[in-house]
Amino acid sequence: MNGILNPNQSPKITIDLYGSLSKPQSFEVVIDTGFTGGISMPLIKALPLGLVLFSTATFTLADGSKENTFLCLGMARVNGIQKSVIISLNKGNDILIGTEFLSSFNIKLELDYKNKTFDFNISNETLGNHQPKTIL
Amino acid sequence: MSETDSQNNILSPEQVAQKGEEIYKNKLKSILEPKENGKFIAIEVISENYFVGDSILEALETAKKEYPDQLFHTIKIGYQGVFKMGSYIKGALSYEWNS
Repeated sequence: MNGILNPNQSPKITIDLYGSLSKPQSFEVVIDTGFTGGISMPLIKALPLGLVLFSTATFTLADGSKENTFLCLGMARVNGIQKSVIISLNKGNDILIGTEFLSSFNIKLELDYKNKTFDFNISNETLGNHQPKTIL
Repeated sequence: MSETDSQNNILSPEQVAQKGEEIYKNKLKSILEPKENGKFIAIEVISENYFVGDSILEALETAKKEYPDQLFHTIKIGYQGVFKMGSYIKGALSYEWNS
């Protein structure tokens, strides 16, 4: 999968997300390599998915300050591969995926800032072993 | 009306977070740091039991098997927060409670 960097110089892709009470729904998500978590999504988009509220947690921001959030359990599907993911809730408008998400799906991400493009691929190892593990 | 339903041991998310931080700071920090730094801990704040995992998903999955109906508080051992968030979403993350 490839595409054009958005105005914030970040790649945007489409993935499927779902919880225990919903069918998979497609969302445009921003790949944010400054975010070390899995997925962060607005509460208003998370509720219809029936995500399971799991935990409270504290995040640290780039300036060193701390903020609080809720963590939910959901499922994500990328290129037919599905996995359990931790989804934190935010009050913004965008859905972000972070480095833990990229790592768990064994994503290879190449950014070309000169041409404002990106290349996003899942490794063959992941494609060969994609049975979902779920506790929903 | 109190935030706590004492008869049912139901805590608000804010209380879960506060108790989780207190339990970690007062009882678990000295046991777990620095040996387990970088791992994740899910704390069940009523029993004060805790579950350590290499990932946040592993810690929470283990905790949920033991306490399927409880809300946990998660901490990354040796770190200020479970994750770092860049500037993309600054100001749009917090759900206000006193930490």
